[in-house]
Amino acid sequence: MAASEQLQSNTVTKRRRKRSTISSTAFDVEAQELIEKWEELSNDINSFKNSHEIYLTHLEEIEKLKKDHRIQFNKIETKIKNLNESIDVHQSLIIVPDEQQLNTPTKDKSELLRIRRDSERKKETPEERIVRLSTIREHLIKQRSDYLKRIKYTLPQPPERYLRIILGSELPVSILDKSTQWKYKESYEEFKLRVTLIIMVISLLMSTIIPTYRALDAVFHFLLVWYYCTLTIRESILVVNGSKIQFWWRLHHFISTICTCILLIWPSTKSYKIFRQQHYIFSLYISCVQVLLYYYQRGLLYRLRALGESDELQISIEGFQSWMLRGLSFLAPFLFIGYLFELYNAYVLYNLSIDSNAEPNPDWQFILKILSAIFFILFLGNFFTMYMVIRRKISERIHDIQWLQHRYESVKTLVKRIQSVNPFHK
Amino acid sequence: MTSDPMFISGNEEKRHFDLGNSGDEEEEDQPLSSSPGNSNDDEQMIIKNKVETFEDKKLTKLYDNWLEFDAEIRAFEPKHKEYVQKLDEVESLKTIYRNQFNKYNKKIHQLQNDVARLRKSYAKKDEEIKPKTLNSSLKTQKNSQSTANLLLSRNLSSPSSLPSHLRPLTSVNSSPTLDKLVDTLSSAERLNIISNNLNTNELYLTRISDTLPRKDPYLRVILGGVDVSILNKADKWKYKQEYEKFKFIVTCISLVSSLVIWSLTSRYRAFDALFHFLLVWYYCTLTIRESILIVNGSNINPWWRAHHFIATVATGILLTWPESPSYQAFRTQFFVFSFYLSFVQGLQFYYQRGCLYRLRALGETHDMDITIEGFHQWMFRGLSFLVPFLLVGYLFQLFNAYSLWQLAHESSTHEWQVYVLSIVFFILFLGNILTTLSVLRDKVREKTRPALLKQKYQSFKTFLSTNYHRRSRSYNLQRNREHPLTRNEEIQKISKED
Repeated sequence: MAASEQLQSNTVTKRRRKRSTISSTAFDVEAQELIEKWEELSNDINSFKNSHEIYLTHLEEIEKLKKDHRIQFNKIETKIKNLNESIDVHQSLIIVPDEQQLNTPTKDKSELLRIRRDSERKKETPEERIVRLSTIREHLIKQRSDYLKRIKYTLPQPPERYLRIILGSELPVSILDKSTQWKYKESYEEFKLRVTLIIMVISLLMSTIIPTYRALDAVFHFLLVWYYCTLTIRESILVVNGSKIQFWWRLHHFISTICTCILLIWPSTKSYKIFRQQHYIFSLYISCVQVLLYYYQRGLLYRLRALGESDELQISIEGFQSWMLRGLSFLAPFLFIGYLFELYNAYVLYNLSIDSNAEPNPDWQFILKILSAIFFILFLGNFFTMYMVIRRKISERIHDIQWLQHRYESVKTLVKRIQSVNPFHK
Repeated sequence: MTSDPMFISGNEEKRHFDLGNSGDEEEEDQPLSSSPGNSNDDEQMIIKNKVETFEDKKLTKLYDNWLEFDAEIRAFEPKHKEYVQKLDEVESLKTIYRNQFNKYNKKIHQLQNDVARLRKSYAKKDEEIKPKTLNSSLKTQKNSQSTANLLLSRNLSSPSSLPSHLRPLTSVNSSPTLDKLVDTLSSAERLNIISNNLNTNELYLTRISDTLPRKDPYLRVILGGVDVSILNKADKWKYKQEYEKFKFIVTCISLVSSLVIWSLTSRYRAFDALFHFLLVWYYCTLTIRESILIVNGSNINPWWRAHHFIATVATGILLTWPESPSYQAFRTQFFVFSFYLSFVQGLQFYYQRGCLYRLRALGETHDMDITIEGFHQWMFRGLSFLVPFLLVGYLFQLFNAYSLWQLAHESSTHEWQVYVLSIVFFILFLGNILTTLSVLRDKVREKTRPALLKQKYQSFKTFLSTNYHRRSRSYNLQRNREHPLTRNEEIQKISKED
């Protein structure tokens, strides 16, 4: 009885409820929608919560692993170094008796030793010892250190001193995933290309159309300073992540920062006005060449990477490198003219610093001398780097020519052979 | 094991280096250089033996080392492979979860907005329809009553699904009774429940947002796509400590150098330029580091970030100000200002660090709160003495702006820097004053201490039990326990003493 009554009351209440919902129409309908949405969302969030907890445990595990692995890796690295060193020491120790042996007939020593050592296990002549040590070193240890080098950049690296000052020392800037590393490098090159384009356009405008305002010049110089600073930061990050950037290019960027800083604070004196136009033309030219460089380098790097001939994180740079000879040689003369332009800048600045008519302030004379010295250093460095590359290429080419000559003999014979074979087929 | 020509030539080079050397080699030389006459053999052999066993020992040690190392590295390799695998897994999970998290966040906010909107309209509607449909509301109330009864009766039969519906639903799990409940309650109550749930969800999401990587547009430009979220709480705190140390050190340097450079006559504009460069670099680095902190969960008031950007611009402009009478006129004032500012900031950072440490220990402030140049809510507990100093600093900024403005109107100034700088200083002054005033106003408007405490502690009892009152009370209790004298006994004692 009670149950049936209850059931009745159930239905009654339900009917009453339905009636009440119908009566407050739109609101209830909307509320119902919201409720449904919420239920769906809460289900989603629940599942997310569960998977997130799993993720958290994984994360903690990985962070701990990173630290532990790093420690182990360091230990192993030091051990390899010690082993290498001790092998060196041993090799040096052993070699001398060999030299002495040259005077005496070799047999005697080895015989002596053999006699002495027959009773002892695992002893060998110094020669064999050398050989054995060298095999250990060449094959096994080298193998291991190559392996270690390969995996070095999957472990978090501490940032170098410059980055530590700017970003703080605890910041993890190692990108441990290879594809993300590559993406980072790509974004770095994008950045360089874009900003260089902007610099090119602005210097074009400033040198031709826009009248001379020191304020706009200051803005342009700020842009340059900021660009070079950011480049130094990003390159440090790339180095932490395993890119082998030549030291000169990093130094070049630091020096350029200082150079543009000095240009920034140069007041609008007569000497400045004389130098201004030249400076803008120089920026225009350099940025044009750099845009060309970066644009073509990217294509070249992509090709080289596909062929497996260049490092993953090889970046596009402002100068000339050996790998650039395979296809970018047409840019070399442009670069060379740019370096000569730098030399000319240095020369003009030096003249300005001496000429007391143009620059009466003795402080500024001194600073102008410094500026010209900086340009001169830049020229020297760039020129020297390029020269080394070209010299190596020429010496290689000589080798190549010799090798080609050697091959040519055999190619000639090969061709002859092919020719002799062909009529048979015909 | 053949020795190639390359290898032997390598050794030859080494021979050239290692000619005159350790005692071992000399000892070895002697017996060998003398011709191996039989008479000397034994001697030679003995010496050789000694030397060679010594060397052999080293070699065996070397071999042992090498074998050990080999074993270690063999053990390391598979572990490392496992590590790389896990790393990849976690990285991919990070991005997936980040996306999901963003999606859910958006949805929650949307829902919350909708609910709030609906509630408002319902409240309005309620007022309208109340006199008319009193009956229906009564009915709905009855409904809820009856459904509560219904549920109770149902609960008697099925005890499993109980407790969730009775309390205001702190758990997120949707159980079958929840659905029933939602069906049978009125819409307003349903909405209440939902908004509570949404709030809990939102809180949950904010809690876990720390564990997922985040991005920042400014950092994107400077650093590129490097992921700088430190996901480990301890490391985050270490990074914050380092940031504060950096600020403190550079402020001290700026303090000292402003004094030194001021005392140097203005003849050496180069030193002035150095000081300006230091300031520009300091503010730039601050902006970068603060962006990193924000990515890692710090809540920095946007005005202070903007303040640093504006300060960068201001010092940049100062940098380009050429040598002129106006510069000379302003120079002294500027250096005095820098000195005072660095002094106040140094004080601030020094005391703020201690204060923050204390507050963190008490659990009253967020982990990643940093020491920063203005005045903040949490600084009232102990750092209120700094307020007058700060206000004087801001007034100084106003004075700077005013004097620069005056300077700009003089006939001898041709530089644009003066105008722009005066405007910039004025903006800085305005921003600082407004922010500080808002903080002070919030403090004044704040609920009185008892009300605040009431919010924090649920009952008087818990308040007493968790505060320092407890210590004094317990001490008294202890004392009474040790000397449980009754009143009569006390009187007797006193009379006896007399």
